[in-house]
Amino acid sequence: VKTLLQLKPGEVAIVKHFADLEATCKLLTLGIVPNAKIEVVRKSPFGGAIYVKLENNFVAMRESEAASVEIEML
Amino acid sequence: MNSLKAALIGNPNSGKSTLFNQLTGMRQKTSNFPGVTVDKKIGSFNTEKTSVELIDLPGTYSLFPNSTDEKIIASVLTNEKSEDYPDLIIYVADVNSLERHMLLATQILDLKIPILVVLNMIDVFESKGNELNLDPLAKYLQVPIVVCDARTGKGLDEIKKHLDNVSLNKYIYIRKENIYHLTDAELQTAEQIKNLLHVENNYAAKLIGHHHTWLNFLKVADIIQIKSYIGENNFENIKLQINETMSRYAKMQFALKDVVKTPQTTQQNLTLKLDGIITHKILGPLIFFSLMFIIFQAIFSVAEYPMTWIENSFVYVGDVAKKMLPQAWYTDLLINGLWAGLSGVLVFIPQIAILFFFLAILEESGYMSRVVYMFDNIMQRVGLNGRSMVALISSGACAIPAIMSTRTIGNWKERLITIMVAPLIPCSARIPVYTVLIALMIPGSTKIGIFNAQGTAFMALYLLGIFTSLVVALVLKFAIKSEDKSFLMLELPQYKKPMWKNVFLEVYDKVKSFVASAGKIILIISVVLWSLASFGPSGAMERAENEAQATIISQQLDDVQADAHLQSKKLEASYAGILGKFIEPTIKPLGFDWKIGIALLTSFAAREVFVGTMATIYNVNSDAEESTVRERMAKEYRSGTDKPLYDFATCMSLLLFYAFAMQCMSTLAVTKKETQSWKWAVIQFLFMTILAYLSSFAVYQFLK
Repeated sequence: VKTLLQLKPGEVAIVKHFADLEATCKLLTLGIVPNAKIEVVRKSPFGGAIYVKLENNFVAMRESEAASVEIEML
Repeated sequence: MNSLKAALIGNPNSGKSTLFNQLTGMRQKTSNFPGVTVDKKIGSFNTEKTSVELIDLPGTYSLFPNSTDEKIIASVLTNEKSEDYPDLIIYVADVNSLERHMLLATQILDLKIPILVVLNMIDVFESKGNELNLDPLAKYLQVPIVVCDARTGKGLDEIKKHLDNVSLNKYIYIRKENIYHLTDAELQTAEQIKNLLHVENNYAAKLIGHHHTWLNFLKVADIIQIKSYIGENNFENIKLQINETMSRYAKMQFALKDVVKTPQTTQQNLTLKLDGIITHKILGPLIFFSLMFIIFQAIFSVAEYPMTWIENSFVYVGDVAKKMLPQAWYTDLLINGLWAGLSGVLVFIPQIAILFFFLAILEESGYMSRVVYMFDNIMQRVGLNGRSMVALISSGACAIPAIMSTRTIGNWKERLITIMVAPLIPCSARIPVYTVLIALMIPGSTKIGIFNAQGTAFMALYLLGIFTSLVVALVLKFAIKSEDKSFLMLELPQYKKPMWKNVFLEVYDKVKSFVASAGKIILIISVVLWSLASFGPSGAMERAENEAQATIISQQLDDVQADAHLQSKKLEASYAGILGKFIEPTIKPLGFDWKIGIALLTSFAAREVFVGTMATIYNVNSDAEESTVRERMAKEYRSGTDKPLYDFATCMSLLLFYAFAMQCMSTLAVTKKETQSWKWAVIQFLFMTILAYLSSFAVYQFLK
């Protein structure tokens, strides 16, 4: 399975499942829900975090958090 | 006139605070929620028929909270007996990301609390060419909806009309059916909790089941009982939260599919373009450090003028009053105690106002979230969270609001470490101490390369504070054990022009609370200090005076010398002198004498008292020739020698002491409140003061 962490900046994918229960609660409230379109915009200056774009908003998350989001490439 | 208690609720970045400020203006006050220091902003205003009390609750994404301030909403809304339980919720949503902002609204609908849904930021929405079709949304929510733009004031009148209407037609603001249908496990648990606590609403009871471990209105016996319900019903907390949220989203996606019509042409997003520069790998940090440099430069250079005006007017008024009032002890108390103390408080206002002005702009524009995102990784390495950056930057003004801002950090350990190290960042109270001591140490004209040496020394002290706080954080990272998971997960809002009304009200609020809290302490301290320095054990003061008079005659001192000699002998005999002499042996290895000892003692209440204490001790006010404390201190000699007391080694030692020591009662009080125990306040006090003592000791012994 591919995760959000494996996405390169500029690539777009569809959110499928979540691997981590606790992270899921927080991802959902920020609009990262199954079937949402998600794009990795860039990585943070000192590494460790990524900047993602959803339909209407932008979200920052750690790489460990991104690894729990399973995706399907568009 | 009816009275109505309304609460503003919405996601972070929904424009909730702007609406609050627009509705209430200056008629707002900040207090605390019971038991926590989370700010509670209450404003009041009148509509045609109703006097409204409006509570601005912290922004949250759902009733499944992550951090201390988000927990407030769930604990108010599940407790009908709470003093903040509203008659009406004004729910603010950003119409530009409707689906996400509606999640919390659907939760509140299920609580059956009257709700008015306000779709905010319609101007931005329409400027992008979007079209809004309200009918399906109204059909789905089944409660009144107002479209508004809080920035321009559009829709405000309609909101006020609803506030007049709610007491007459309460039921049109309540959705009849539930949106989310409880599962068997949830329903059973909810029924049992309803019976136990006499709660009426199923969904409220279910939420209590989710949050029973931290809801502060529950009794211990109730918690134990709820735990057993949860066990027997197989109520899986996190799984059920996810299940509920997913189900709400699924229903909403279906219901909202025709509400927003987006134009086909997708224009490049300005925020995305800006972030290409602002969060760029190299430019990003560069821009951040330049911004910080500019802000702190502004604080020093711009604030200097109003500070001088404030000081001079206080001195002028004090001098005039002194001439007009009779020469008596109460005049002395009034001028040298109270008036001087008040001046010591008010003189900080320009610096605090300027810093909070810039911080408010950074926050309002959306820049602060980018800082959190960029520095999260570095902060993680020393045991902090990206969100700690906000607190550490605020600490540059004052540790108190900084510690209070840590409530956005969800992870307890990261939050605790941030609280512990925040007071090590040089706050504005250290500025006057540093100013005086650096000026004593380094002549103003000295240059290091092209830089002003005094300015460089200032910079070095700031860097020292930042560096030390990171080192201490790293130590605490390994010392404190915690199993809690830490998250970044942060929304990066669209950049927007700061709204000046919001910025102004924020600065006003911060300055007001500084004057109120720090002001009280400084006033008390200055009066206590004045009394200690003016009185002594019976007979001792008279004896000191007689001895001094004898010396003055035998050595034929002139008037100025005579007065100085008399004052210093009297001080030595006073209670303050006795106290200073008592601690002198402990501080002698640091290069300090008993007079500095008095300043150290009073500074434990608040650092900024230092300069005022020095002024009192050296009796600067009554000494015509010496206008400033610094000039007077430069003429002080180490007792029994002809060497200056404030030489390089002593000044360095004092600087380090003030850099590290925990000399602020208000900070300790806030630490105690935020960590809910004396333990961490005591640890903070001890580690900082020991660090201060040891480094002062080391540097003095090495340099002397």
